[in-house]
Amino acid sequence: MIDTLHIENFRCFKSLDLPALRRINVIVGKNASGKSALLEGVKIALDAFPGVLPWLNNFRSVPTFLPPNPTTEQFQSLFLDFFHEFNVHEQIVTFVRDSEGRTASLRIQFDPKRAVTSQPGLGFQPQPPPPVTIVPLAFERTDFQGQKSAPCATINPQGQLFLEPARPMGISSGLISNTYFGGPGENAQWLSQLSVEKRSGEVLDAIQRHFPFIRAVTSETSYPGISTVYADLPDLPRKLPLSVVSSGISRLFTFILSIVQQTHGVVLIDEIENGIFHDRYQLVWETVADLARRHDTQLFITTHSKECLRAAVPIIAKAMGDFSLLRINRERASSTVEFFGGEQMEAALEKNGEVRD
Amino acid sequence: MSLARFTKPRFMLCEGDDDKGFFEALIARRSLPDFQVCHSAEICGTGGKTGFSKSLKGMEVLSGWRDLKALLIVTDNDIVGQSFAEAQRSLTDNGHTPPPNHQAVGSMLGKPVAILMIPRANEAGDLETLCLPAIYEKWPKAKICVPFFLRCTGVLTWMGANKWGAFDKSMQHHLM
Repeated sequence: MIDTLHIENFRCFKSLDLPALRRINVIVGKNASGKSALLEGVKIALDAFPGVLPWLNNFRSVPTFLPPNPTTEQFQSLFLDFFHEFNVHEQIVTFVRDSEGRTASLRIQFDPKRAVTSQPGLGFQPQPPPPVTIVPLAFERTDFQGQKSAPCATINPQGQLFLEPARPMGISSGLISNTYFGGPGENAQWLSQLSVEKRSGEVLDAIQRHFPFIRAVTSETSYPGISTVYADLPDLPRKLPLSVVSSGISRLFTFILSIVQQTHGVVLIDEIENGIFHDRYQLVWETVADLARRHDTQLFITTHSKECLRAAVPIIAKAMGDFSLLRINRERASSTVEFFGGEQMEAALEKNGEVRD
Repeated sequence: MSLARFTKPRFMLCEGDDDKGFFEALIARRSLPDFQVCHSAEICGTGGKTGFSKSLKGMEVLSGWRDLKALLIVTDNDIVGQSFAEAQRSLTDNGHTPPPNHQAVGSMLGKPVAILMIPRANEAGDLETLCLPAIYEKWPKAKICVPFFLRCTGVLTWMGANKWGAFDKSMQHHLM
């Protein structure tokens, strides 16, 4: 579990210190304050390999496109948004300490010492174009086991984007976007894996607490190579894709599955209330809190909904030490975070106070 | 519950409706700096001094706290000889509050806080005494019959140190 997190020069955060993080960290703030950016910061700090950047761009619906043999400017522009105020002259820095006192650090920078030159290969031109040199984006990292490495985002000899692979830092993480309502692919693979390990029963139990009419959830391959999560409902002659039954149920299923899957890891949930009917909020909090404790999973959850926050009060009251509230405030281009413990959070919410901005 | 967020630069926490009404009128009449005035019952459902601790708990999480300049807590000085530090401890009772560095002013959760001790019932300056002359002036006939009526209710035979306070408060309510 992450105990403290330091982030520098990333997105809207010039410098950010989060001390004494808890099992369940609830993040609030206005639009564009940096809630999703904070989730991204946690993801980068834990994954710390170049491939995470295009993945996060995809999470933001930002296309990652690089023409062959790019110029330095074209290459840099792919990653510019990740730097605070586009300042590529400063490093992006993350530093994490976990609850066992282990640390992991990451520095991301364009490293001129690793400059790469490629020759645009258009053979039929009488005069070949001049060679192109780009400065790779280097990830200098030390993981929780103390292993150092420096994978980078660069171009290969063919002049195409190449993201050097690396393993996560030692704490696994999953990020559920505000628009992810379940679909073919990842969920089905995870469910299959849990089924093989005879652990899928817990997922079904959790979903049946909310929706007892669901008899079973299974991973099925209806087309070659494409697996989908299906639900078995009474009175229907065939199973239905879970996302067809309800996008809200499918989203809740994703939360449950991710927490079970990321045992001893971290799950980042953007806008937990999306797609969930209001009378389910309390049960959702209860379910995720209970699962997170059982699986030693740490949660970072953003929400815009006061109703959803209020529904958490009885759950917070039962285990105040498990909760924290992180309120993000943005002034001009920079954001800051205020940290409150579960005790303060519960007291304010219990009085129906406004805590979101 | 009426304190969802801090809306003004200064916040005043009172024991009840009467205090709140008095201070809101005073602030308006004297054009004093802008205060948001609330009493403990409307914040946490528990009125009077006993509601202070609950009202103050978690207050720093509420929206607008960062921009708040100062807090003023208004309480009846029901206990004779109670020092400011004792009063403050009894109000907050949460371990966060350092002893004030001089009388009536201290800090709480990083904000300047002052505790205004209102003289207890039947001492010069208590709210009921302050209000009664104005009420008598407006309803001179009632000045005679309302105290008579209240004496008939036996309010002065009630047990407890605050029976004169209860008497004055009842009189004020009946007159108004």
